[in-house]
Amino acid sequence: MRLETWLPALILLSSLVPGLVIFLLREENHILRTSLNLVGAVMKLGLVGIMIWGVFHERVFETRWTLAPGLDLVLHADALSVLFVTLSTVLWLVTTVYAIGYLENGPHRSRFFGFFSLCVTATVGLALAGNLFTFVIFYEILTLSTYPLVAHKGTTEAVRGARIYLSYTLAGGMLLLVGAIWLHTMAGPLDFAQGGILGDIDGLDTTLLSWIFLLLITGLGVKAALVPLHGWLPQAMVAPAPVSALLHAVAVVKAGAFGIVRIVYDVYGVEFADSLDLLAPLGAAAAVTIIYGSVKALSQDHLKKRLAYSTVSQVSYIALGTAIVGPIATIGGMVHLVHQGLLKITLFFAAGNYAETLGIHKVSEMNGVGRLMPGTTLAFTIGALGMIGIPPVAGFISKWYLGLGAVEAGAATWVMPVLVASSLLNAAYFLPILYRAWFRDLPREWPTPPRHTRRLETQAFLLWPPVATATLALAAGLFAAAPYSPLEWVELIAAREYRQ
Amino acid sequence: MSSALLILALLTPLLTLVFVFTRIGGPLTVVAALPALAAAIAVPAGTSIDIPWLLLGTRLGLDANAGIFLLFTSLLWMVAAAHAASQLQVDVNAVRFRIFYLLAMSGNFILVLGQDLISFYLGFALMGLAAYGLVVHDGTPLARRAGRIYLVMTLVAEFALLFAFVMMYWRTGTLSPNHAQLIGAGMLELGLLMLAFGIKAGVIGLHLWLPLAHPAAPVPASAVLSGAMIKTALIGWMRYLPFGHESLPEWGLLLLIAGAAGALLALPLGLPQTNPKVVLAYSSVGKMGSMVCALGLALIEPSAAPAIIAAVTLFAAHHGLTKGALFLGFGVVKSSSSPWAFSLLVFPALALAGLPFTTGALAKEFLSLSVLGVAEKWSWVFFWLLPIAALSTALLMARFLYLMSGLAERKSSFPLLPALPWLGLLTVILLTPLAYDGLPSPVKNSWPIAIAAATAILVTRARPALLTSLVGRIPPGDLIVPLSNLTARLVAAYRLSRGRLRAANEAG
Repeated sequence: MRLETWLPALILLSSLVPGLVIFLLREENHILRTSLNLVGAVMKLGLVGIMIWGVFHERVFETRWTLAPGLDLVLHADALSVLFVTLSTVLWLVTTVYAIGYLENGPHRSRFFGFFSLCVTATVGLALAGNLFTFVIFYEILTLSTYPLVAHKGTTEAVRGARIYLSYTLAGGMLLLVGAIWLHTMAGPLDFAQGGILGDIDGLDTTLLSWIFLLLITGLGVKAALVPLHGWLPQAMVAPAPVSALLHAVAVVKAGAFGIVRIVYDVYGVEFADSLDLLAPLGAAAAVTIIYGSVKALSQDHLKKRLAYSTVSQVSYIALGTAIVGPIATIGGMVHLVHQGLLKITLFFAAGNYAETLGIHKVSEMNGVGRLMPGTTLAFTIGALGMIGIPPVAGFISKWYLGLGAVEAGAATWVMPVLVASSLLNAAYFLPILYRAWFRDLPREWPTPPRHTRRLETQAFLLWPPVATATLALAAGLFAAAPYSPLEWVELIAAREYRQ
Repeated sequence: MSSALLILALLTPLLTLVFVFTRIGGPLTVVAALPALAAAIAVPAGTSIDIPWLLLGTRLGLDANAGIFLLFTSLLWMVAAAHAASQLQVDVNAVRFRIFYLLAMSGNFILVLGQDLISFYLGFALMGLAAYGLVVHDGTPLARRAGRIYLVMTLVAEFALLFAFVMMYWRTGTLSPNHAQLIGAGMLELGLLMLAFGIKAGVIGLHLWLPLAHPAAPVPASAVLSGAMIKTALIGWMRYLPFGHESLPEWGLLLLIAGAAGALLALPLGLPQTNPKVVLAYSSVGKMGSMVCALGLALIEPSAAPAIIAAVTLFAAHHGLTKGALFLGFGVVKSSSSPWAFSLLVFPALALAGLPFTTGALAKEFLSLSVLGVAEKWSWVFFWLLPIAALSTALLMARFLYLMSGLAERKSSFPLLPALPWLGLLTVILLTPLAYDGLPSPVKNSWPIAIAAATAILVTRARPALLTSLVGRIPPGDLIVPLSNLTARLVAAYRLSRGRLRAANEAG
């Protein structure tokens, strides 16, 4: 038994096994459930650490089961999958801590944490997927395991939001499945390869390939919330805060964006996709989504809804970076996969803290919250500044590379205005929140009176996760050029994708 | 040793943030600029440190011009902080003020010392955004409006600069381009640089935020805003335009004309104002105009660039310290109503107007030597502009002193302790000319002041109606008022038409 063949499977099992055991636990068994969750998350982090080291030194980690001739279930670690696995693992650990604090004394905790673990297993599975078939399987598992989380509260609103979510993503999954099967019949088993595979196969019908690309990207675009496929995302904000945080930062939305990256780079190959003229429409869709999401966010008073539309906008930075040909734009798009994750999870954690501690759900109720909850509000501020693209927070690094990539590809004249407009719009919907929180006076009456008995502004399990992720977001920007930073890792991926 | 001092200069204001909530937060804020001041004096020009793991690879360093900018800005940040700490009235939001003050100060120092595009941009953005917290500090509707306009224009400047830097980096391939590498910039890159720093410098047309933000901010914040922060635009241009290596006649002419327009319009726009701080703000627009005008000539004529840049740097130092002293003096007179303080205020006003044996006379002499010696067809502009600008400054100062005289009451005593930082700054301004030999001739420089004084006395004694007919005719921020009215009307019209459309839909 060699580590190289078992490590990917072990990483999957480290959340799958605790998840399955948790389903069987009784509701009151708080201590065992929490330990299982945390031990699983920490173990996964350790295993991923080994994997990072190995992939950096060009070791090959692969788990492969042959289900039928020509149909393999493959878990394979390349630089790109390690990026996404690391993001998921780190954020899972943080979100687990947060969820324990958030759901303390709530109902149906075993069900919640069971599906929560399944959701992360699926995310890590699709990150490690070594071929299109495996990717599709985990993509569908992700859809199904997230549905109970969105509906968790059980209110009519929650059930309705979850149903909308399910219908959108199942339809998207169907398109993806059809596209994947079609491609499989045309080109055989599709193991992801850096630089793409389809460009090397002769005699493929390029018109058909373009249609399949459209099917695949549309299917993935539902989860990635590309306009006009984004309708489910603002509805899904009825989910509990930790679910929203995970959904927006790493699990669902990012799965779609990650899938787009995989299809463009490792199935079609970015140069081949460009030669078929497939990237310009993708870029246009991304640009429209970026502006549309920001404009919609402006008019939302509900904090989580504003954040949801902000996600619609920001996740398309990744698609935009993918659509621009050239290693620098690739770096900008992929690094935003990590940066947006850190920033958005911080913002959702903070939004959850306001709701849990003070009962605040709307922007218009946030006057003076900086005084009551300085730690949470500071984290929120870092997240918001990062989204606008103010250095040294990580979002700036993404924007710098996207802009540079656009200049490199000769696309600066349309990409830079989109980036600048989006930055200004981000400022227009985030800065008024910060103004309210730090400068306005506290209103006389609170929706729920704050409990002043504790020393901390809220429960420790709710406070530390956003502080930790905000610190990571700050560090990712401040030490962008340091070894093992997200940026350095993404530069490694780009070098391997473009075979430099 | 000198690298440690440079790093300490940057870290101290940021580390002070940790202690800002404690009882020593106030005193620490005052000394936070001390390492930067020490660095400006002790670190030799040409020192640089590379920190490859920070941001995208950071280079900190000090060149000759940056040394002077660091010297006067750090001095000003320190004096203004001391002024803030010495004010007796208790401000419930003092901690918040200190946080934004320290952040803006850090941004200022990072921008001066950061020799790569990323750290310069970081400093520029940090300073610009943190200053918003200073502008809106008082929370009045007026301050909030000023803050909103300031913030929108600052963000436009920041993203324009980001766009320009991205193109600059792509073109030159280095994060620390020197002037030779900057040759060959495109229209868009140069235009964005003009826009970004033009807003920060308060170039006429882009100055709309300036006469609103200065009076809205608390006194020490106005002092650093006018004395230190708007000067950073000059550093930006000096560093990122190809001065001395390439002639850019069109862009040079643009700066020349815009700068001259600012210098000339400051008087008609500033004189009718009733708030002394707004008069000072318009005077800043005018002075910045003169400096921008000189930079324009340097852009047209590369051989003259080194002398002009050196002269503009000294002029900026003079204007920074003197304007800072005027704003702090406003604060001292306003809070104490002391006639003694008022009479001391006359000194920086005269220095700004270029009284012989002051920094003003020196700065003007250096500037005119550097621009009039150039054998270039545009030199004649300065032959006319400099005297007119000197006269307008003198008249604006007369207006300022006239407005201030209303604040002084006969019986009030001089507030020695709270005024100490201000007195220190005045002493520095007073003694600085001693460092130079060969002072310019007194007569040549006194005539604008004499004319202005005569005019002021004549108008106030003989024909006060001349002044009263003008007063209050121009709102602070001039063009911003019709502009925001227009926007408000457009928004209202849009809402109305949408409402009508909806009503029509419902009816149909």
